[in-house]
Amino acid sequence: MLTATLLPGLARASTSSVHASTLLARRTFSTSRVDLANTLLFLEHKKGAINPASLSALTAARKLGGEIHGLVIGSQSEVEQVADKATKIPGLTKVLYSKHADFASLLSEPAAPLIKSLVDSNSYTHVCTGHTAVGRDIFPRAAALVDTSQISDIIGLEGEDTFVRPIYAGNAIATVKSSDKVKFFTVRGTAFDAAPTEGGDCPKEEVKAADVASLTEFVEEKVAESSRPDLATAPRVISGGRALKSAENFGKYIEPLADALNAAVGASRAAVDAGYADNALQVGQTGKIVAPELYMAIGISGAIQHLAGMKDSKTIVAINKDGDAPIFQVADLGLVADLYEAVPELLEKVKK
Amino acid sequence: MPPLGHHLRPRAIGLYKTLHRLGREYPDPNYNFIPKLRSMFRKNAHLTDDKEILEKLEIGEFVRKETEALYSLKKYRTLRKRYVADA
Repeated sequence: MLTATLLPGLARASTSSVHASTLLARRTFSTSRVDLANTLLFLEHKKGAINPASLSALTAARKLGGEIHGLVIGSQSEVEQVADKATKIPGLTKVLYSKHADFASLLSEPAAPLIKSLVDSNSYTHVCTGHTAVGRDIFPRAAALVDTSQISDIIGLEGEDTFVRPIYAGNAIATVKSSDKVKFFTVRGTAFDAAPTEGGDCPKEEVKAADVASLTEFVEEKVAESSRPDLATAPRVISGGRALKSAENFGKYIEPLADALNAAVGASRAAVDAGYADNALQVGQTGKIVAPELYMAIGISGAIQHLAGMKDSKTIVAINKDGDAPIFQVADLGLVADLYEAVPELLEKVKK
Repeated sequence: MPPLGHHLRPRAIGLYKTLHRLGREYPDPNYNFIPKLRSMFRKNAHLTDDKEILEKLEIGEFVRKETEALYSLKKYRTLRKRYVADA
């Protein structure tokens, strides 16, 4: 699906060089001056709540200084309410909102041209959002339309054009200097504190949606509903691996322990591939990258791809039957035991 | 290790040496990396078929990569604990 949707975006990118040259003529100030930064922050929201990753992106954007405009898009019914919420976020200087039926599911095809038209008309120097599924979808397309290269998943800012981001699955840190006129970047949620959502007051303004026929149709979204904390930001994470052997065992052993500790549930790739856990729970290089206070790996031997996703955890606890498992070399606390005995015992003691 | 004169023998010896060198620094001293390495190589020493040997060499390469990554991760966590406040 991704390649199919990308093609029209790339085709449109070829026309944007004309706009880039007019932009240059208008902006004659030196781009290295941070106080002249003018940032557009895309605020992702779902069911009326603003995504915490977008709030982390705001914290990153505030380091740039200057004006920060929030952008909220959505369907007719919900966008005003979310925009009102956004005006209360301290740090934003203006909230732009746009309503259109196509915006309801935050698809990239209608959203990217809107971002481009805003960048053109308001001459933003920076455009950012959280590094989430939505951000990862919309931003590359928008960046291609503006004819600039996006910098993904940043974990730090060293000046207005210099970004720090992990490469090689976090094994090395790259400091990237962008020479583009408009800097597009997505921010790793765990690398910056989320901005507060109360205490600010700024004006809001409606912008008209760019008239683009949507080529894709949103069919449905399947989300595993849970009352547990969000995996990416939870202070405690309990992960299960292949050793659980079935989805029922996952529900029987991992979930009660997570509930008792008020923790999020994660899974290794082996467990996800075998169908024991939902895809959204995968922790690792290709899944979610977590950095909780406490990470418990239960029945996970510790493939390097998994370890890369949780190496920033403060305390790593491992329970595994195989004492030779590599996870014990990384764990702070290890228990060599059968999880079917150890977990119920642990649960009993936690409950006390 | 394939018998003397076999064309894959140098590759197997090379892999053995690399793993041996890596194994000396395994984080957990009780892990017995080198005795394990030795017994694994001895177990497959009788193989002469190219396909089988290449298969085993592949596994050995995988172990080497995983071990190297494990070391860098161990190092990362240790340094982080020492130098990053509140980590």
